Amino acid sequence: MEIKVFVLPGGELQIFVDGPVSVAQAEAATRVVLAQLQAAGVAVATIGPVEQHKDAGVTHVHVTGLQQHEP
Amino acid sequence: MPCNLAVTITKAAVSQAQLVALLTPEVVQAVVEAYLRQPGVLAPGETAAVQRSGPTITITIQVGGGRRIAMAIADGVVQATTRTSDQRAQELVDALSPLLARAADARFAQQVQAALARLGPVTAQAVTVANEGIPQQAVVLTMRL
Repeated sequence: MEIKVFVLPGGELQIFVDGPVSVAQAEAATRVVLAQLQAAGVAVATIGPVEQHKDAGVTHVHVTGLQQHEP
Repeated sequence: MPCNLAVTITKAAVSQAQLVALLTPEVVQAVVEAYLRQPGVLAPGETAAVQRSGPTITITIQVGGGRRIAMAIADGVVQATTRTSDQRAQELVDALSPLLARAADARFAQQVQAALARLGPVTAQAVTVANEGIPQQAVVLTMRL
Protein backbone atom coordinates (compact mmCIF):
# COMPACT_ATOMS: atom_id res chain seq x y z
CA MET A 1 0.00 0.00 0.00
CA GLU A 2 1.09 3.56 -0.60
CA ILE A 3 1.24 6.06 2.21
CA LYS A 4 1.47 9.77 1.68
CA VAL A 5 2.13 12.01 4.66
CA PHE A 6 1.40 15.66 3.98
CA VAL A 7 3.44 17.86 6.30
CA LEU A 8 1.55 21.13 6.56
CA PRO A 9 2.46 24.46 8.12
CA GLY A 10 2.13 24.72 11.87
CA GLY A 11 3.09 21.15 12.70
CA GLU A 12 0.10 19.47 11.11
CA LEU A 13 0.06 16.18 9.25
CA GLN A 14 -2.47 14.45 7.03
CA ILE A 15 -1.79 10.77 6.45
CA PHE A 16 -3.32 9.23 3.34
CA VAL A 17 -3.31 5.47 2.86
CA ASP A 18 -4.10 4.08 -0.56
CA GLY A 19 -3.98 0.76 -2.32
CA PRO A 20 -5.84 -2.50 -2.65
CA VAL A 21 -6.37 -2.76 1.07
CA SER A 22 -9.26 -2.80 3.48
CA VAL A 23 -10.06 0.08 5.77
CA ALA A 24 -8.85 -2.03 8.69
CA GLN A 25 -5.51 -2.58 6.98
CA ALA A 26 -5.23 1.11 6.19
CA GLU A 27 -5.99 1.95 9.81
CA ALA A 28 -3.33 -0.51 10.94
CA ALA A 29 -0.79 1.09 8.59
CA THR A 30 -1.69 4.50 9.93
CA ARG A 31 -1.10 3.27 13.46
CA VAL A 32 2.34 1.98 12.40
CA VAL A 33 3.19 5.40 10.98
CA LEU A 34 2.03 7.21 14.09
CA ALA A 35 3.84 4.79 16.39
CA GLN A 36 7.04 5.21 14.39
CA LEU A 37 6.82 8.98 14.62
CA GLN A 38 6.26 8.83 18.36
CA ALA A 39 9.09 6.34 18.83
CA ALA A 40 11.39 8.71 16.99
CA GLY A 41 10.48 11.56 19.32
CA VAL A 42 7.94 13.30 17.11
CA ALA A 43 5.24 13.81 19.71
CA VAL A 44 2.38 13.76 17.27
CA ALA A 45 -1.22 13.35 18.38
CA THR A 46 -4.14 12.50 16.18
CA ILE A 47 -6.82 15.06 15.55
CA GLY A 48 -10.02 13.08 15.41
CA PRO A 49 -10.47 9.54 14.16
CA VAL A 50 -9.08 7.71 11.17
CA GLU A 51 -11.55 8.75 8.48
CA GLN A 52 -12.76 6.74 5.56
CA HIS A 53 -12.36 8.93 2.57
CA LYS A 54 -15.72 7.97 1.16
CA ASP A 55 -17.48 9.25 4.26
CA ALA A 56 -19.38 12.45 3.82
CA GLY A 57 -17.86 15.54 5.29
CA VAL A 58 -14.24 14.41 5.25
CA THR A 59 -12.08 17.41 4.57
CA HIS A 60 -8.46 17.14 3.58
CA VAL A 61 -5.77 18.75 1.52
CA HIS A 62 -5.75 18.63 -2.26
CA VAL A 63 -2.49 19.06 -4.13
CA THR A 64 -2.76 22.02 -6.45
CA GLY A 65 0.83 22.30 -7.60
CA LEU A 66 4.10 20.44 -7.56
CA GLN A 67 7.16 22.57 -7.02
CA GLN A 68 10.37 22.24 -8.93
CA HIS A 69 12.70 21.72 -6.03
CA GLU A 70 12.92 18.99 -3.49
CA PRO A 71 12.46 20.28 0.06
CA MET B 1 -2.41 10.63 -5.19
CA PRO B 2 -5.80 11.69 -6.42
CA CYS B 3 -7.85 12.01 -3.29
CA ASN B 4 -10.64 9.81 -4.63
CA LEU B 5 -8.33 6.84 -4.30
CA ALA B 6 -7.44 7.33 -0.64
CA VAL B 7 -8.77 4.58 1.60
CA THR B 8 -8.24 6.45 4.84
CA ILE B 9 -7.18 9.90 5.89
CA THR B 10 -5.89 10.69 9.36
CA LYS B 11 -5.04 14.11 10.71
CA ALA B 12 -2.45 14.66 13.39
CA ALA B 13 -0.33 17.44 14.79
CA VAL B 14 2.37 18.35 17.22
CA SER B 15 1.89 21.13 19.72
CA GLN B 16 3.04 24.66 19.03
CA ALA B 17 5.60 24.29 21.82
CA GLN B 18 7.05 21.21 20.16
CA LEU B 19 7.24 23.04 16.86
CA VAL B 20 8.95 26.05 18.41
CA ALA B 21 11.42 23.74 20.15
CA LEU B 22 12.77 22.91 16.69
CA LEU B 23 13.94 26.49 16.42
CA THR B 24 17.17 26.02 18.30
CA PRO B 25 19.38 29.07 18.77
CA GLU B 26 21.67 27.70 16.06
CA VAL B 27 18.78 27.45 13.61
CA VAL B 28 17.48 30.91 14.47
CA GLN B 29 20.92 32.44 14.14
CA ALA B 30 21.39 30.85 10.73
CA VAL B 31 18.00 32.11 9.54
CA VAL B 32 18.68 35.63 10.78
CA GLU B 33 22.17 35.82 9.34
CA ALA B 34 21.01 34.49 5.97
CA TYR B 35 18.24 37.08 5.91
CA LEU B 36 20.54 39.95 6.81
CA ARG B 37 22.98 38.90 4.08
CA GLN B 38 20.36 39.30 1.37
CA PRO B 39 20.93 42.32 -0.85
CA GLY B 40 18.76 45.24 0.10
CA VAL B 41 17.84 44.08 3.58
CA LEU B 42 20.33 46.41 5.19
CA ALA B 43 20.35 49.93 3.87
CA PRO B 44 23.64 51.49 2.80
CA GLY B 45 25.58 52.42 5.92
CA GLU B 46 23.69 50.04 8.18
CA THR B 47 25.62 47.33 10.02
CA ALA B 48 24.22 44.39 11.91
CA ALA B 49 25.49 42.20 14.71
CA VAL B 50 23.87 38.90 15.63
CA GLN B 51 24.71 37.35 18.95
CA ARG B 52 23.63 34.25 20.78
CA SER B 53 23.16 34.33 24.51
CA GLY B 54 21.78 31.04 25.80
CA PRO B 55 18.42 30.47 24.15
CA THR B 56 18.12 34.07 22.98
CA ILE B 57 19.37 35.60 19.76
CA THR B 58 19.93 39.32 19.80
CA ILE B 59 20.21 41.49 16.73
CA THR B 60 21.65 44.96 16.87
CA ILE B 61 21.59 47.19 13.84
CA GLN B 62 23.39 50.49 13.65
CA VAL B 63 21.20 52.55 11.39
CA GLY B 64 23.33 55.66 11.24
CA GLY B 65 23.32 58.92 13.08
CA GLY B 66 24.37 57.10 16.21
CA ARG B 67 20.98 55.42 16.30
CA ARG B 68 20.57 51.71 16.74
CA ILE B 69 17.72 49.28 16.87
CA ALA B 70 17.72 46.03 18.74
CA MET B 71 15.66 42.89 18.59
CA ALA B 72 15.57 39.66 20.51
CA ILE B 73 14.33 36.25 19.44
CA ALA B 74 13.38 33.67 22.02
CA ASP B 75 10.95 30.76 21.82
CA GLY B 76 10.38 31.58 18.17
CA VAL B 77 9.10 35.07 18.94
CA VAL B 78 10.79 38.15 17.51
CA GLN B 79 10.52 41.32 19.54
CA ALA B 80 11.96 44.77 19.12
CA THR B 81 13.78 45.68 22.30
CA THR B 82 14.54 49.24 21.36
CA ARG B 83 12.69 51.40 23.82
CA THR B 84 11.12 53.81 21.43
CA SER B 85 8.74 52.66 18.76
CA ASP B 86 10.74 52.26 15.61
CA GLN B 87 9.26 51.58 12.19
CA ARG B 88 12.51 50.09 10.92
CA ALA B 89 12.61 47.64 13.79
CA GLN B 90 9.01 46.69 13.15
CA GLU B 91 9.79 46.05 9.49
CA LEU B 92 12.50 43.63 10.51
CA VAL B 93 10.27 41.94 13.06
CA ASP B 94 7.58 41.54 10.40
CA ALA B 95 10.09 40.08 7.96
CA LEU B 96 11.76 37.68 10.38
CA SER B 97 8.64 36.23 11.99
CA PRO B 98 7.37 34.36 8.91
CA LEU B 99 10.91 33.24 8.07
CA LEU B 100 11.20 31.61 11.47
CA ALA B 101 7.81 29.97 11.07
CA ARG B 102 8.89 28.54 7.74
CA ALA B 103 12.16 27.36 9.26
CA ALA B 104 10.23 25.52 11.97
CA ASP B 105 7.99 23.93 9.33
CA ALA B 106 11.03 22.83 7.33
CA ARG B 107 12.69 21.36 10.40
CA PHE B 108 9.47 19.53 11.27
CA ALA B 109 9.26 18.04 7.78
CA GLN B 110 12.87 16.88 8.06
CA GLN B 111 12.14 15.34 11.45
CA VAL B 112 9.09 13.48 10.14
CA GLN B 113 10.97 12.29 7.07
CA ALA B 114 13.86 10.99 9.17
CA ALA B 115 11.46 9.15 11.44
CA LEU B 116 9.58 7.52 8.57
CA ALA B 117 12.80 6.57 6.80
CA ARG B 118 13.32 3.98 9.50
CA LEU B 119 10.36 2.10 8.03
CA GLY B 120 11.71 2.15 4.47
CA PRO B 121 12.52 4.42 1.56
CA VAL B 122 10.75 7.78 1.68
CA THR B 123 10.59 10.33 -1.10
CA ALA B 124 9.91 13.97 -0.36
CA GLN B 125 8.46 16.60 -2.61
CA ALA B 126 7.46 20.19 -2.02
CA VAL B 127 3.90 20.80 -3.11
CA THR B 128 1.23 23.44 -2.97
CA VAL B 129 -2.02 22.22 -1.47
CA ALA B 130 -5.45 23.62 -0.91
CA ASN B 131 -6.32 23.06 2.74
CA GLU B 132 -9.97 23.92 3.24
CA GLY B 133 -9.59 26.18 0.26
CA ILE B 134 -6.51 27.95 1.55
CA PRO B 135 -3.32 27.52 -0.51
CA GLN B 136 -0.44 26.27 1.59
CA GLN B 137 3.11 25.16 0.97
CA ALA B 138 3.58 21.60 2.14
CA VAL B 139 5.90 18.64 1.87
CA VAL B 140 4.52 15.29 0.85
CA LEU B 141 6.40 12.21 2.01
CA THR B 142 5.63 9.07 0.05
CA MET B 143 6.42 5.53 1.15
CA ARG B 144 5.17 1.99 0.83
CA LEU B 145 4.44 -0.49 3.56
